[in-house]
Parts: sequence; C-alpha cells; structure tokens
Amino acid sequence: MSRAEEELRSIVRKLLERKDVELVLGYEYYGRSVRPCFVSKPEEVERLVWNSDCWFNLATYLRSLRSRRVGIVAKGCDGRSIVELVKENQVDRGSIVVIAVECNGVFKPFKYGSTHVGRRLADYCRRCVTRVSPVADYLVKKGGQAPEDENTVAGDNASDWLSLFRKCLKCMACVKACPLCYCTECSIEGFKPDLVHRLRVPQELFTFHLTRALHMAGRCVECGACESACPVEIPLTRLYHELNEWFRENYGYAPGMSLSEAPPPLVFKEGGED
Amino acid sequence: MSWKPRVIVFTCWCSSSGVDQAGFEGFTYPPNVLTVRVPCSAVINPSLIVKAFEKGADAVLVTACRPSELRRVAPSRVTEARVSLLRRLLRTIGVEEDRLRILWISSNEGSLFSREVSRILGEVERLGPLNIGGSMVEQG
Repeated sequence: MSRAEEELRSIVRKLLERKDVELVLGYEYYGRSVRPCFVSKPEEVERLVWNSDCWFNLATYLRSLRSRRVGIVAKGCDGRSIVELVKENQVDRGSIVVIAVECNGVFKPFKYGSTHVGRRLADYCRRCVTRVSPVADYLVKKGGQAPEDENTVAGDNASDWLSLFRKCLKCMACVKACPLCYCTECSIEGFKPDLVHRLRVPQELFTFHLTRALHMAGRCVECGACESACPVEIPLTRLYHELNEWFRENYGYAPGMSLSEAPPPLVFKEGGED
Repeated sequence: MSWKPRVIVFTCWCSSSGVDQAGFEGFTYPPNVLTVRVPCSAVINPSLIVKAFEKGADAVLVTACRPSELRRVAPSRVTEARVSLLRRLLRTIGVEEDRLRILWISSNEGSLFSREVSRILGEVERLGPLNIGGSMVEQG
C-alpha cells in the first residue's frame, strides 16, 4: 500500500466519521483489475485503492447522486469533468467533496482479444494537460507511481477514421461511460424518423460518431472514458481532441479548467466584420 | 463521364429568395443541386449536414444572409462557426473539407448564387464522389 493510498483512506475515513458525506466514490480491486466502488461506512475504507489502473471517470455517477452529499476521488481529468458538470448546472458544487489525487497517467485497460500485449500508458494520458484536478477540497499528493511504459511505441496514429467507425457496434458504451453525455433525451433519437437507428448495426455510424463528436466539441475533457469503454477500441478521444483544438485556436478556451470561464457557445457575441 | 455530384444546399429564408431570383432572372444552375429551405441558417442542425453526407450528398452548401446586412449579426456568425467546426471535423476524419461550404447570398443575388454553385460544382466534380464506405450508408 502506497503512501498516497494511506492518505486517501485517512481522508475518506475522516469524512465519513464526521458525516460530512453520505458516501464516497472510489476505486477498489476486483480480481486483478480495478473497479469503481461506493464507500459509505468508515470501516469500509480499506477497500479503497489508488494506482495506475484506475482509469474510470467517477464523475459519471455524480449526476445520478445529485440529491446526496457525496465525496469523490478525482484525477485531473475527473476534476475537469466535475467543473464542466457544475458549469452546466448538472451537479451542485456545494454538495460534493472533491478528493483530488495527483495522477501520473493511467494504463490502457486490458481488453480480451486485444492486439497489443503489455501494459501501456493510455494515449489520452500523453495529451494530459492537468495532473491535478482544478477543483479540490482535499489533495492527495504523490499519487500512483509513474506508470512504466512497457510499449515505447507512441500511440498508433491510425487516421482512417471511416474504417474505424465501421468497426463500431453501436453499443453506446461511449455514451454511457461519458460523464458529459447525460441528456435524458438523446439528440440522435429526438428526430422523427430517428437520426440514428439504434438497432441497424452496420449503418448510420458516420452520423452517429460525427454527431457525438459535435456534441462533445468544446466540452470533452479528454478523460478517455469513452475510449476505454469501447469494446472495439476506437480512439474516440483523439477525435474529440481535434475539435477541442479548434476551440482553443478560435476562442482560446479549454473545457473544465476553471469554474468562472463560460463556454464560448454560451457567450457568443454578435459583431465582427463581414 | 456520367457521374454527376449531388449537392444539397441548405438555404435560409432570405437566400432562398435569392435562389428563386436566379430563376426569375434567367440564370441557370445544374439540376443536381437540391435546395432545402429552412427558416434561418442558424437552425440547421450540424447533424443534418452530416446525415446529408451519409445519405449520398457529395457536397453540402449552406447559404446564409450576409452578416453586414442583418440587423442582428449573430445567426450568420453562429452558422459560420458551426460550419467551420464541421469542416475541421471532416478534415480530421479524412473527408475533403471543401465539400462543405458556406455562401453569403442575399435575396437579390440570383446571379451570384448561380455563378458560385456552378463553380463549386466544378470543384466537387474534380474531388470525385464521396466514399463514406459501403455498409455505413443506409440502403434503400
């Protein structure tokens, strides 16, 4: 058990004993992998772990726990998604306690039938801009040990997106895993006839992925939850990164970096020359 | 060569009268240009532009009012920003970004519309058909 884990557990124990929070979202071991866990009793804090396998974005659960006072273990990107959720009025900053953990990047999750062997730093972690959450009530320093990259080959730069999209099973795992894809009425179903039919599998994948990319533009915090959840390993975060680059170039805006910075589409001003 | 590009033009209310004006004034534009009239260019959902590409459009044109002629500038600017974002997205996934254009057309600019559309059609013809890939396109 690392120092960071010890520190994390003591913070969570303190929070639960003082009844500051009802439950804490964290990570626990599940066999040899890590899964999210909800800790609600002080004696359960021994379950909590923190290492480089904790790739889940726990902010995804915050919206369903809106009415409760929750603590959350947040990496840098998780913190950014909390900022985005607060900015979009989906969660109340006052009702969540953010336990920020310093993150050195996470491993790409193991997938059965995956082509690469060995653990390797996730692609999106190479583009990471903040290792510590921009919002934090508690800070656990010296997080998980820096992951040793067993595969020195940088991210595979497959750019044939059209054939990558064709692999898609339309399982909607990317939608479910994304902390910011929360609409109760999804826009791909709001049209009559449906913009994208959920059951016609090899079809309409172009519209599905481009629509999702457009809806994530300027909001995606590049936490990689979609990419990690994807059963066919489409590197979606790279696509959303390109659109965030567009926002950075045109508006100098990066999502999730500060609570006071309004998203450009919200503060769109009239004006400019023809 | 028998292939002719299929072009979808989303026209806002004002520029659709510009398109009509082209007819009144006797200017022609190719028959493989289909216009879809919408109340304002800012209501065009970018997903529908994407859908048009998937359904077999080789190019999509958005015509909007000139920002300088509008009392409120925002709608055209919103459309401009969306189209610019969508062009970036198309470039990223490897589709030529010139397949999506925005044109400023006022209600009396029929000749401009006819001239520009013919020019763009020629460029799209040089780009060739858009190949999004067999099974991704809905059949029938």
